[in-house]
Amino acid sequence: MRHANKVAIAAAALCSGLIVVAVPLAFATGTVIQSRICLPFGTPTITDPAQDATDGDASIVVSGAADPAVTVEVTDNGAGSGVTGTDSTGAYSISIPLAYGPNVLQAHVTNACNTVNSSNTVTITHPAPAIPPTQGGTAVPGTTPGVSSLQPVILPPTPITAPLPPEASSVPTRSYSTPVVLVPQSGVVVTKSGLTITGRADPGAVVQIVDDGHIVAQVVTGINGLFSTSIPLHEGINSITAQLTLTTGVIRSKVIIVDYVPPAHAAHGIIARIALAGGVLAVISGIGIAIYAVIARMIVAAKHRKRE
Amino acid sequence: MKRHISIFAGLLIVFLGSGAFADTTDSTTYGSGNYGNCDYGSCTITLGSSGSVSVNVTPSSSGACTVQSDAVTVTTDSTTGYTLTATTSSTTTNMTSGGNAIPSTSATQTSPSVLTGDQWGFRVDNLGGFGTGPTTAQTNGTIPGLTFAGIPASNGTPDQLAHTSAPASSGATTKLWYGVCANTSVPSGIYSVSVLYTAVTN
Repeated sequence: MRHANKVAIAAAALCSGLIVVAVPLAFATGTVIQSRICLPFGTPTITDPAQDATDGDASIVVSGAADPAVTVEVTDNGAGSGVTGTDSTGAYSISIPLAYGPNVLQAHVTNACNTVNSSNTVTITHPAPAIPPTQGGTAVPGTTPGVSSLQPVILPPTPITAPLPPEASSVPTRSYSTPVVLVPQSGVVVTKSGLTITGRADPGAVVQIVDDGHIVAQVVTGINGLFSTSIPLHEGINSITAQLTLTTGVIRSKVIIVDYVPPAHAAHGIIARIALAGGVLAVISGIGIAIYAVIARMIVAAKHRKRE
Repeated sequence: MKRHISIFAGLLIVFLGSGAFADTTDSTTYGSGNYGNCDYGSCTITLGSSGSVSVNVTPSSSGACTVQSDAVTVTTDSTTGYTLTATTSSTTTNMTSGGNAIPSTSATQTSPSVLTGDQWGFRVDNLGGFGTGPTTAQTNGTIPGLTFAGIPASNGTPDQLAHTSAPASSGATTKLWYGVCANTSVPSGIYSVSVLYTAVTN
C-alpha cells in the first residue's frame, strides 16, 4: 500500500506537470576584461607666446613642442580652439583666435588610451576696444569729496573682460536678424590657411565665426552692421557659419563651404590638370592624323581609278 | 477501486504540499524560509553583466593603474537564494596580448594584496578579506592602496562572489572592480582575459 501511494504521488505529480527532481538551476555569462596598454608619451609645452603677454591682435600664433607626429589641441579658457600636428622634430605652431580679456592657453596631447598630457598654461590678455564713458552720470550731493554737490559725477566705464552676448546684458529683450556672410562665397577653393570672413549682422552684435562646430573667432559688428575677421582654416572642407549666441538660442547664417588646399596639393592639382589637358590634346591629335590618313588614301585610290 | 483512491490521495497530497514536493529550491520546513514566487517548479535564474570592461593604461616607470567596474546582476525567485562564482574562461589567469602577458596577482580573496606595477586583479567591497573600500574608478592613477585578488583559472576552484538565502526577484547586483597596473616594462598592446560568472540557485 505504501509503495502504491508513492507511485500514485509520483504519477500524479507527473500528470500535473510538476518538477520533482532536485536539480538546482544555473546560469552563466562572461565578461571580457580588456586592457589597452599604450606607450608612454611626452607632455607638450608652449614656448611662445610668453606668459602674461598682452596682444592687441585678434589671433596669436602659439608654438611649442611635443612628441613627433602627434596631434596637439590648444584650448583657450578650457575650450577647444585649434588642432594641429607636430612635425618630425616634435615642433608645432598654430594660430589661435583670441577673445577679449584674459586667454588661458594650454596644449594637450591625447593618446589611444585616452590619456591626456597637458602643457603649462600661458595667459595672454587681449584688450577690449575702448568703450566710451557712460553718459548721464549721477549727481550724489555731498558724497564725493572735493566735488561740488551740483556737479554731476561721470562714472568711469565699467571694466569688461569680454563683450557680453547681446541677451546677457541688461538691455531689454530685442530681436536680432540672422547674420549673413558676404565674403567669401560658398564653394570657393583657397590655398592659404588664413581666410578673412566679411559679413553683416545687427550693429553692435557679437558675431561668432564657427568652423566645423568650433568657434574660431568672435567679432563685434560696427555701427553699419558689418564685420570682418580672419580665421584659420584646416586642410580640406571647412563648413563656416556666422552666429549670434543669445540666451534664447543661437541664430546662424547659411553655411559657407570653403575648401582649403595647401599649395603643394594645389601644385599637384595644376600639374595633373596640365597632364590631363596634354593627354586630351594628344588623343585629339591622334584622331586627326588618323582621319587625315584615311582621307589621303581615299584621294590616292580615286586618282588610281581615274588613271585606269 | 483501491487504485482510484490512491491516485486521488496522491493528487490531494501533491496539491496541498506542493511547496515541499514541487521544487527543491523552496523551503522544506513549514512556516519557515522566505516567500517567493518560486512555486510549482517555476524557479528561474538569470545573470547579466556588462559584457566587457575596458581598463586602459598608459604605463609609468613606477606603475600606472586603472580601475574599472563590472556589475553582475542575478535575478531569481528561488526562496533559498543563489550562489555567484567566477573563474577565468580558460586555464590561464593572465591577460594576454599575443605572446605578451600581464600576470594575475597570486593573492586570494581571503588574503588579498595590493597590486604591483605589472599585475591585474579584482576586488569586491565587503567580501572576504577585501575590506569595505569603497573602491572608486581611476585611470592611470598610482597603485591603489586597496587590495585585490586573482580570479581562479577554469580548472581551479571558482571564487565565490555572493551567497544569498533569499529571493532576488528584482535583481541583486554584485559590483566587481578590476584593476590593471602596468609599468614601462609591459609592452604596448591590447591585453584581454575572459571571466566567466556562474549563478546557481541554492
